[in-house]
Amino acid sequence: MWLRILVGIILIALIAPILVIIPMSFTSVSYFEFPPPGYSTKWYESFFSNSEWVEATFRSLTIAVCTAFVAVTIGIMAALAVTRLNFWGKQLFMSLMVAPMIIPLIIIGVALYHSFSPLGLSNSMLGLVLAHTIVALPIVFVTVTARLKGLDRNLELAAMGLGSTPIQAFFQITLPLIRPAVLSGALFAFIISFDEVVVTIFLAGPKTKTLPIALWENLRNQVDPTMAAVSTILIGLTVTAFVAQSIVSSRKSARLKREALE
Amino acid sequence: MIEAKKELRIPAERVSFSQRLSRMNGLKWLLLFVPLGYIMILMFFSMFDFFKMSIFNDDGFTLEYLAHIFTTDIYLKVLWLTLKIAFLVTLFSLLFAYPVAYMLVRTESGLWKKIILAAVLIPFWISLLVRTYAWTILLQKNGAINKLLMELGIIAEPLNLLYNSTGVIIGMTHILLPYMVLSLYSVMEGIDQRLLQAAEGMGARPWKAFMQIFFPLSLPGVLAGSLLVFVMGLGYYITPALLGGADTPMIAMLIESNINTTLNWHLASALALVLFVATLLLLFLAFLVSRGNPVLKELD
Repeated sequence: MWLRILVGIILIALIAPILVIIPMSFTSVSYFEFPPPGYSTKWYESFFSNSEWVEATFRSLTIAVCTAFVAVTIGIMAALAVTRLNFWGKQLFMSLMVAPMIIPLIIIGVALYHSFSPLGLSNSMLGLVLAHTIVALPIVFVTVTARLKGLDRNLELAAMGLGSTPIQAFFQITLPLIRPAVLSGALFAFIISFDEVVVTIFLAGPKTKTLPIALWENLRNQVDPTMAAVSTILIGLTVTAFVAQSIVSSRKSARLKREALE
Repeated sequence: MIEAKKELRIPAERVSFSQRLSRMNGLKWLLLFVPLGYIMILMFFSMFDFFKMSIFNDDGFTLEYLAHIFTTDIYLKVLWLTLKIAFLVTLFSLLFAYPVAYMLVRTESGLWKKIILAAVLIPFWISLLVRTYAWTILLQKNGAINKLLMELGIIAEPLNLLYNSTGVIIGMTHILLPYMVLSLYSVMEGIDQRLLQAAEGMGARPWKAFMQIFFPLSLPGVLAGSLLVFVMGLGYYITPALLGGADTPMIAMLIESNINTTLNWHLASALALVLFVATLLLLFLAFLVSRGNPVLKELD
């Protein structure tokens, strides 16, 4: 019983701070006061009518989609190498693939800034996609590898035994089977890129300002309730994505259970 | 690659099955070298090139910058503060995460499990900046926490919670807590619950069964989670910069200011090298500890 109360308090402490932003975004005044003295939607209007915010949002979406695509492609290749090939130093290869998850982002950011600047890749969309892919790669690699390890390899071997090439076997047999892992890997990569701040601070310039950078500058300089409106939109999107993903996965597991029973 | 494809299209009856497999060579190397090249060239080469500046300047090899960090009071203070904050954040997240993860594996109701997981995972996926921003609202002098504490009569004057290490520790604990819960949960999930029933069946009180059976078995998770949170805490930039400000400089903030403000790349590189070596040492230590740990061996 005590445990339940304790856990309840901890969970409320985990969620409540984030919910505070929502009433703040509907405040009628531009200075800070909690709870807000009056309500209005003007900070949402200020977000949608400010071209800088809107452009930053679209830029972030574009970068996140490209990052998800590149990270999934490279992540699948790495996962296939680990699960389908025998080579010397596999442990080392795996450590290298997950290294960007452990190495402090500030080091990755500064190092990329240092090597991208002379190549003209800093302050460019391509540079940001390349950098975000590094950060997103480990999660795609881990997700897809876990799924591939649980897969029955005989299905692929059977396809190849029946005359398909390894490439055909991959696209017609393996890929459909690992699709859930690929999709969640893509979703993770998208969210990581869409939220990325630390590496982006060094690489983004005035022409490639992403949404997190716009938020960061806003937070550092003047705290304007537009910030709360943007945050509320982001919270809404994250919760929607989370709920959608869990509905899809619970339906899938229900279907699997049903199939197993039949 | 095109040639490899052609070769693979030889009709099935003409090549045996094992020969067919051995013809994958061309593709095989692509699977290995594309990801490896991406990470090695983009990340490790960049890092190597950047770290070179910490021990080489125009005059050749020098330990000047590293020595500067370890002999100057200000830098030593920053290193100490970084270690202290990372340690406290690890300790607090362990204290809060342990009961949550324990409840997650012990509860029998599927609904509760879903609620707890959602409460842990949703903040995990919400933007880091949004979560940090929430704390700047809550921790202000006339913010919600001070108002609440004053109304409850616990304090008479509003506390200074923002722009000092208290704020940084609160914010970072909140942000890193999900990592700790997930690390603990992944190990606790593998503990055979029947062991606890057996202990209780043989007369152990629930508390004793927990201390003697469950807790020791959960230690690998405690170790993995603490290490992850500590390492992430050492290199954290956004939250200390926003909640701590100039009064609580952590190592990552110092790296950033050396690059963007004072333009001292050599010193920034030396600081980054210190942070990188500390991270590697901790990981290596964990590797050694976990190898000697019989529980982890069994998990393998």
